[in-house]
Amino acid sequence: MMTETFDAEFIIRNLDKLFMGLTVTFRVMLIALLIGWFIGLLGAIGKIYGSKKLKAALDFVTDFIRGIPTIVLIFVVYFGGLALRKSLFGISAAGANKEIFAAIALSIEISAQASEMFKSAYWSIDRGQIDAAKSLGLGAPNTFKYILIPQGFRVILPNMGNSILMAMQGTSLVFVLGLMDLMGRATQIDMGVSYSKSFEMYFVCALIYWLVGVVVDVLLHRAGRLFRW
Amino acid sequence: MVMPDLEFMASTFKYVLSAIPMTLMLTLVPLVLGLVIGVSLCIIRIKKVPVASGIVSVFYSFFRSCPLIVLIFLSYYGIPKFINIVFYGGVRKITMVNISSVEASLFTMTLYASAFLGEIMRGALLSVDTGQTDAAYSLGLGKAVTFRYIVFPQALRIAVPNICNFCIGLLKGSSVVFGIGVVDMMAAAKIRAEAGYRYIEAYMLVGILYVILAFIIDGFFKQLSKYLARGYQT
Repeated sequence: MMTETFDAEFIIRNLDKLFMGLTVTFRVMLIALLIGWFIGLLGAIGKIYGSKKLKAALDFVTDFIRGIPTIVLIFVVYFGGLALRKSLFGISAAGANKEIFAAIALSIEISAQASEMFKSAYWSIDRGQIDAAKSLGLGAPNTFKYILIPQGFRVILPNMGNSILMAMQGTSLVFVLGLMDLMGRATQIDMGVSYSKSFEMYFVCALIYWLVGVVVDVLLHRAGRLFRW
Repeated sequence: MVMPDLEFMASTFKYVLSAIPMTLMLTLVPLVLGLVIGVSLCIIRIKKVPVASGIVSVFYSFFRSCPLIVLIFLSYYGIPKFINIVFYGGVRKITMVNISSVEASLFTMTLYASAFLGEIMRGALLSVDTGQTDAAYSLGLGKAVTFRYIVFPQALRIAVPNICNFCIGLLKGSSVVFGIGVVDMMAAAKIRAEAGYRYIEAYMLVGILYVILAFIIDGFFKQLSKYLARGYQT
């Protein structure tokens, strides 16, 4: 009769390999967030200042992207990207940089969420503030710097936290492409012991994701207090 | 570019269509159960019950950061271990083959939903005007009656947009259960894609189907929101 154990020592022995996976996770997360927020900002500007048709089109695109499951998006961008590369440059799938495909897929998903985030942050600032700034003669750049950004930043902070967590949860799926992020490393280590330590591996993954989430929350909380009145 | 294979797309479409009930069950059951459990949990937090409200906060913080796929794997491998240790004294009697993947997924997603919906309802309940409860008490209504007929309906109306967003999140999240062998829409698409080596067509098709389902859910919640607001003037 086999006994059911929890091999904590196994986890500790393989922690360094798992942390190597974390670097890939953070890299993909960072690129996806930067590109995603940039495109999201452009989208938000279009939704705020654009014509009626532009707003309707952007709203439809946002709703469409938000309905696609992350993993489907990852697969479509990966296989579609490979096919595109093949028809444009004639190179085959070997040696493709999977990180870039993963980052592109995640940045598409984040840009949809970010456009809504920036739009709602803009509309939540009292119109009177902008009117007062105009009446005081502050030009557009100064209004932006001294009025909009400080107030908008405080409003947007919780949503930015959600955005970062969304990116992190998105990276947890990219191992299906074979990328060696945290989940990829965990699965690889587990494979090395014939899948006997699956629970231990995913348990420590859960703890690491939780830890990162708590750290992100604390850092954003501190950042929010920088902008107190 | 290669011409899309229409025959493949038709048969893939039919196969994925047959998996839609599974996806819907994985979305709607956790939504409803999660709402019930979530409201109970958030009441614990609002009342600031000494030990329990701290536990619920930790529960929420965990489920907020942890990706759904990790939770699904954790429950798939962890539930047999847990049952073995608690009921059989550590002897390996139950393994993954004895646990139904569908039930494990439903269990995990219900917990996930109750954490998030609890937070949503907490925000909604706290944002109902306290004047309402004051008026109700001054009329002699008890705490339970006030909650059920005054506070909760208004909170529900406030929460509907967030619940709609989360429901679509559940729909998208249900797509990861293919990892433990549940045949939902995503698994169906994957099976067809690998059978015919037509990855792009299969995944684009299932993506569009997911979006259609998301739009339907959106429309349902918009109608619900209109229905709940029917007594109120704009």
